[in-house]
Amino acid sequence: MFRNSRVTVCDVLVIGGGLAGLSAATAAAEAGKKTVVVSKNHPLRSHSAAAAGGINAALTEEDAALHIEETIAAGCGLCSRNAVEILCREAVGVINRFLKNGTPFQWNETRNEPEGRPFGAMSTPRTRFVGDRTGAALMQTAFEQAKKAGVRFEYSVFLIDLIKHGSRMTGVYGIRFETGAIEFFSAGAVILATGGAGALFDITSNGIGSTGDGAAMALRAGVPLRDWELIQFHPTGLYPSGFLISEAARGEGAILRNKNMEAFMGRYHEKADLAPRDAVTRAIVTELKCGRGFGKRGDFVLLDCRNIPPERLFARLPELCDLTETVLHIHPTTHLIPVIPTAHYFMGGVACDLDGRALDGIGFPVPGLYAAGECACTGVHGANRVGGNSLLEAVVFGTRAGQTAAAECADLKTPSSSPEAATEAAASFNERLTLFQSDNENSRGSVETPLDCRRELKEIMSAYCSTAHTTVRHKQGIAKLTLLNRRFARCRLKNGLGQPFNTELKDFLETENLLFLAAALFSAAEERSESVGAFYREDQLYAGAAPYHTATEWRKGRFLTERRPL
Amino acid sequence: MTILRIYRSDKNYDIHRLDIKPETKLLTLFEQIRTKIDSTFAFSSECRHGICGSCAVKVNGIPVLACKTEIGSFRSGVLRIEPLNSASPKIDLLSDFEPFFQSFSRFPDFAEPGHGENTRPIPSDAVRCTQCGICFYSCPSIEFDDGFAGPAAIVKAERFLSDPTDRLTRSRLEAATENVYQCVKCFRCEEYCPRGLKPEHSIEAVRRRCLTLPEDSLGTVHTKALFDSIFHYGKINEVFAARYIFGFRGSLPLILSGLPFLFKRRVRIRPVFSKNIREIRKLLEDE
Amino acid sequence: METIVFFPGCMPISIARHQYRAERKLLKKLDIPFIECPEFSCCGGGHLQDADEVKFLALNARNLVYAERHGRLLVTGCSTCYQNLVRTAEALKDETLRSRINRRLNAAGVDDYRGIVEIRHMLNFLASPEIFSLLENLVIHRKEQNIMPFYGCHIKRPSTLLPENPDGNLEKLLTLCGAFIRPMRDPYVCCGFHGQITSPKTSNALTDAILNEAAEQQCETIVTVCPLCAFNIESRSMQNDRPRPKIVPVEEMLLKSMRR
Repeated sequence: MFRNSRVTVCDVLVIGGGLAGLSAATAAAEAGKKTVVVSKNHPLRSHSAAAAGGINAALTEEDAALHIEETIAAGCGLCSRNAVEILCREAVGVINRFLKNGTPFQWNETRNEPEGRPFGAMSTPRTRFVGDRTGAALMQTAFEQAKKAGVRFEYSVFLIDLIKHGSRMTGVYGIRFETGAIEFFSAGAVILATGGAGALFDITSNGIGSTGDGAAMALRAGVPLRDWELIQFHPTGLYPSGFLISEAARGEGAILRNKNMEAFMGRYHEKADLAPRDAVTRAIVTELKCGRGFGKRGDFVLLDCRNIPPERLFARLPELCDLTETVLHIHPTTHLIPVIPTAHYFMGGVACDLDGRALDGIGFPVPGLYAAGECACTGVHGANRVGGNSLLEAVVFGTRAGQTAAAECADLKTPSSSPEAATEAAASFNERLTLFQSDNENSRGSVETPLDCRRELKEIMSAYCSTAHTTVRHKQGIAKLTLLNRRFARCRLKNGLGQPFNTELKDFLETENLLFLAAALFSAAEERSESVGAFYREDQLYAGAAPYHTATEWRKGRFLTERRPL
Repeated sequence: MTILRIYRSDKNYDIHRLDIKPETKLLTLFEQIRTKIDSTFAFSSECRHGICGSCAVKVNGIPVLACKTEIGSFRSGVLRIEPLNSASPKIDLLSDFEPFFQSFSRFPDFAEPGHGENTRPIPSDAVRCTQCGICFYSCPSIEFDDGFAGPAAIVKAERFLSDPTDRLTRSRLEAATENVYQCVKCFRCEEYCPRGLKPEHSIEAVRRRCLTLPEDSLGTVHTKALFDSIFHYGKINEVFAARYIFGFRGSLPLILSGLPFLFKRRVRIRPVFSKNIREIRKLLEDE
Repeated sequence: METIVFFPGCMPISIARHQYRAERKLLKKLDIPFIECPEFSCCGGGHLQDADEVKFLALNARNLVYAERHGRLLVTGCSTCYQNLVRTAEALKDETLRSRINRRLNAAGVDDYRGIVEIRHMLNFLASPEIFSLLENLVIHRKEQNIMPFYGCHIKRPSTLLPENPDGNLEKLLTLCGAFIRPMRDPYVCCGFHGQITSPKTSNALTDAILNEAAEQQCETIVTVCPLCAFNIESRSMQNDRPRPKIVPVEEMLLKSMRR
């Protein structure tokens, strides 16, 4: 039935067109490999463009050493020192490369180098920036360079699953949105760069497309996720939607205030408003809990930008001004901005070695599979990411993954190295889909759509598995999730495969991935028994145990989380 | 009560009568329609706050970003909502962005810097562009003249051209001289740009650079003709300009086409000179 | 009444003299004292900035300097002149740029530009309440006909730059003349004049669309507010054998509805 399906054959296949994906693809293409980037949106629409504040780069050797120490300190003992060293030492090269390729970093005339801005958890101003649109500026340059290197782009393809041949990942299949038909991508090496799953939460800075499709695919293919429960909540999301108010605001001098107009951060941390993100978020949560929040329900605090000179604010944070003006019709020079913690970044993901090879449950590389960016867990962020390190990680480890994949990619003599496995997988998918279309007794009376389920999932996750964890909440959350899964199974699709522009199907598949990842998240969170970094447990069982990673695996129809020593 | 006429495939419109608060964002409305009314309703969105440029649509013919536009910002209570690229829509509110993304390839779409480490970057407005396609799909020249590169691509080209170490200036300009003179200066791109960019200024800047090319094109000659006419007369003299551009013989049909106007007593045959023409000539000389 | 400075633009003086005559006659009928400087030059026609931005600003600054000598209000009947003059005035609000341009002006023997003159488009001027009340006394309903009001682009766009919103002004004046107004789908569509030479395809398509709409609406007349639009639409309408609507400048339209 899939005989006429389009098959794309290439050396290196990159899944996801964000900054990590483009960096990987450029590196692979520059190594002379035929590289294809396949993504569900156009690369320029990817969420890397929403990164605002900047990219960390120590320009001197001493500062790099400091950067390493500060990153490790903020990571609460879960960082991999080797990975952090690579990250911080390669930063200069990254900045110079982007500068050379035309990224207009803000320039410091006296020092004749890119201007640095102070950021959370850091002692020197080393966050390089382009206004508060750094991610978008880097994305533009990265996209130009990828095009120049000869990378081919296949966008609006929604990927469903990895294809395995023996133990090797040989490709992936998905649905092309325009035609609704199944397509196969066969490659010598597959790089996952699909970003995080912020869409799990009600209040999130992530776009609606950040549904963690890559992580879900990896799980289903038997690859475990490391530290999946470690999720960073950015302290300043715009109330009530959670849109990102960049840390750059506090870097430039903005101050958080509670109901009594007190600049409360001084009470919590010596670095006050520029404390690590986990500390700021926890402080805000504590303030809200103590009834010092604003609003009828006391559920937000305020960010005070009035002490930043207006010219500086306009010049360096234009997006912030634009955002508050369009969403709330207020201006940061005169009004205080209501903020709440917002789901921002997944520290965990597919475990990787220093060269971007994905690791299986016992720490061996999975042949043919690589990962980079937010969906990977290289160990540079530990239990709490430092602001400005994510863009750096995406470029540094994206490039490394691309280079490794190019060097190691299997030689594909035949058009598809495993046609049977691919068709089999696609056929079983189609069968499953048909089930969701047919009207059986289960579905009778159900009027729910995938989007209804997604909304409810977001509520469950925000209530039972976000900034404060307890075992009781986990149990309640799991119970609710089980019920929701049952309801989701009763959803019915109007159209199946072959229907062009089937948004409903895309919603359905994304929601399915999210439900899957939510279950994995509960499993991982239950296993982590004490607070560490961004993960905060109210019913702390014991503290001071040796740090460990969690590894969550999908085995025989259920999730299994185990602890792994560092 | 707001009445929405939303484009679906094949020139059909769905009509929704809804009671909505005027401060509701258009995108929120689309999401509500998808969750509550029709789960197959297709539109694109990503970041939901004006950064990614995915959600541009046309409302009563005016292109806007759905995530930044409030229902109440339109005077009319009836909103006709169409995809941005209404000439060849895909389905519902989805537009085919491929021509737009391709337009950037009219010029070498990447920096090609010369040697030297840590070159000082040129600050540019172009970095604020979100590639939402609004300028491209509201441009009449894009609709009618496939020679035009489009405002967004020119803004980007200008950014590379302003880099003094750029090594591809020549080929960028050669592409530009073919691809930027089709602009009719209607200022729609500037009017509708949700980022407040000024593509017309970039078009002018690129045209100025085109004048440095040794070979003339129709566009550069046109500019030079008008410049010289102002230099000579202080005014634009149509006959002078036509002769400058097309030569004596070439300009005859054009000049003869003005005869009916002559008969209508609308044409002054003797050329008009501005008084104090010396001042004008002095101003138009290079410093 | 305060003396206004009338800036006709190049085209009404050379090949659209009917508009020039109508504008002057109308101002006289309204008893508005006006001065037209023979020193005025072209505004750059929208193309001088393609050659050199500083020269473009200097040339228009010179026009404004001459206007400043005679009054505080400059009125022009040409949308492109209006847009370019406003653009110059806005740009020269920047101190450094203004002193640079002033040095240039002085070197050419022109006074300093001070930035005290207000720039208005003839249409908006005529539709402003005090002038409109004068018009109401003068205009007698002359002939009822189908008229399509056409604004064109430079009178409105870019609206972040231009100080006046012309919405409805033309309709207001035409209603006074007793016209049946047949509104366009988008009266601010571009007529394509500035692309006549460099992009004839676009220019013709745009002009044809306007003419087709007039034919669809069975309009005998299109009323324009810019000589460039008028010229472009009229010369295009002569090239084909479709019904030729009359293209009338709004000033002429008003004059026609007055007592001789």
